[in-house]
Amino acid sequence: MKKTTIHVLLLLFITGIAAWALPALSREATHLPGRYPFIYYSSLLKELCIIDYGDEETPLTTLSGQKYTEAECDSLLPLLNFRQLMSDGKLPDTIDGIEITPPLLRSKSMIFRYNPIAMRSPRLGLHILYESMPRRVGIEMPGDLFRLEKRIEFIHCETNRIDHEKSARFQHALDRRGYRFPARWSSGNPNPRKAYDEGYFSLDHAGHLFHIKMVNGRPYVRDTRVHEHLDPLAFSMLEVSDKRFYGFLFGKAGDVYILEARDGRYHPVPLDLPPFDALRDQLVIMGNLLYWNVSVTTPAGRSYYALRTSTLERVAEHHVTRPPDPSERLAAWIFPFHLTFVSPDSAYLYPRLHINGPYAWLTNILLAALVAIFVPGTRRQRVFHSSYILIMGIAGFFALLALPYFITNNPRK
Amino acid sequence: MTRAICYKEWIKTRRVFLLSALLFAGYIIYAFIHTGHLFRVEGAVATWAGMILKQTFLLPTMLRWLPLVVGILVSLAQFVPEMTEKRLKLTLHLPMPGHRILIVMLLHGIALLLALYLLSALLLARGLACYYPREILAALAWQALPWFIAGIPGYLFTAWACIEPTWKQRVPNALVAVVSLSACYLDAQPGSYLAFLPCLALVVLIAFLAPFYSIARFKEGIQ
Repeated sequence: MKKTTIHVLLLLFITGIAAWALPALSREATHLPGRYPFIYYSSLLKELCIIDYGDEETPLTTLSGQKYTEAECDSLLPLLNFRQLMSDGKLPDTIDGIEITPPLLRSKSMIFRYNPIAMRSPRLGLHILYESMPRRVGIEMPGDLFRLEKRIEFIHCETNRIDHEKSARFQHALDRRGYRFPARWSSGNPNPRKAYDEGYFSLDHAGHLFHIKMVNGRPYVRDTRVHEHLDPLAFSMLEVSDKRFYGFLFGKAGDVYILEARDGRYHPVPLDLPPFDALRDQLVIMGNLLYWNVSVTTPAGRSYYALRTSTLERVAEHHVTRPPDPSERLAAWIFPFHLTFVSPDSAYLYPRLHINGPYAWLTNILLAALVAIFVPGTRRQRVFHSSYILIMGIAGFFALLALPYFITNNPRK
Repeated sequence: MTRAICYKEWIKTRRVFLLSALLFAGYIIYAFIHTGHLFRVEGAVATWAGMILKQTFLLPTMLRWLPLVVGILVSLAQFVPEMTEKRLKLTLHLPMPGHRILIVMLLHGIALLLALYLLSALLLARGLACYYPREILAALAWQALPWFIAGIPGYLFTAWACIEPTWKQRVPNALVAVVSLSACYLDAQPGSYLAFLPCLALVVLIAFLAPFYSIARFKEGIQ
């Protein structure tokens, strides 16, 4: 291969790595994550309120601009601040005619976080199946793990051998209930720090969602039949204190459901939300006795919704556009494009090209002009260097700088 | 002539190769001691669960740098002697085209490294298969793969910097090498590098071509 060809290949390669490394450095030096306000639905004011704990005088502001003091904030958000109200002896007896007791408030409080990285992550393929009805209080770590692909197999950790007897028992139960192998995905909560365990929800090859758990050492397998209502994309388990539902179900059409258990059957109940992109958007739900506070974060901003806990119908909403990030403003002026290898919505690494807008081309023109005027070289070299910088920008300038024959025109150096 | 060059390269690299083999052997022995310790102290269940719940890397973390260090050592042993007292000029006067001589030299180094890496990986996999199921072994392999790959461009980029005839140009060469190799050390879950392997292949390809650029400059008499 000729030296000139290698020179060009090296130039393009160094431009590529500079288009990744320089913006990454610039971002690290100037990045300031946009802070969204904390917004919560007041069960007394019946509207969404902005809470700023940094403001000691008036931490609560309604969307209409009315400000409230800290003591008023506690009273106006009794379902958020019930521990403080209990301590002050100010917890109301009823709200909207519903009797309030601390155990009831605790059992109805829940927090759920969904990150799209969960959908785009490599899966290990091994799962922990806890006993759903343990004899003693608390969750105990089992002595085995299982894989669910072409069949179900339990592997004993101490011996690293398949437990054929237990595997056959579960395989028989799955076959008997009509589970079609190979499995598409299985989702559960392997964290042992929870009050109880509900096993796994697994989508079989036919698109049926099955509930699989272990009760008294025996397999429990049920077809949820949710495929009659939706096309499941993902499931996220949440073992809530009141055992009202199993977790959140995301449909391929952008619909979000909770999977409720009633009368020994599974019922998907939709959340009254606009279409949700489970591959891109983040979801946080803070639920209480009367209302669920839902925030959906997209690349454009964050939407806040209040849903009635009993019916999951929407009662209020508010949208905040994404606060500007100084690092992006700087990048828009310096880099006409840049490469990234990591992404906020995927755990997989791959190169992504980002176009930063038209302003950086002004910087390119200025830099190309300076190079044409001040960097020595033949007319042909100057034209090539300036044109390259005009197209590739600062990344191209650094690539030229890293290789010989840019500043020094002498071929002997 | 190819065999003669290979023999010459073997004479230069045999001590470093032996040292590298000892380093890898030491690492493998330590990895098994470490795994046995984990199973005795933490227990098999907690160790397996650690991989599932926290994605803990279950081997001693020095594996992150070992292939790269070995790659750089082999390259230094092979190319630093060539640059002292202008021996490279004599090598390039052998009855064989210059680029073919360099190809043989580079392939000799890559073959040594691949032999070391593959043998070490096989021994580790064979031993760890007694402790872990195939899913955990695959996760460990995915975690370690970019670090092993880094050893090859590490070797080639070092050759690029060594053969480069001017010190002024060696500095940007080294800088380019460091930034390129950092792509092998991104924080990632096991398996996250799956779609990134073509990019690492591109790094290896460019790193293989780079020493030919330095040779061309050397032959032009640049100093």
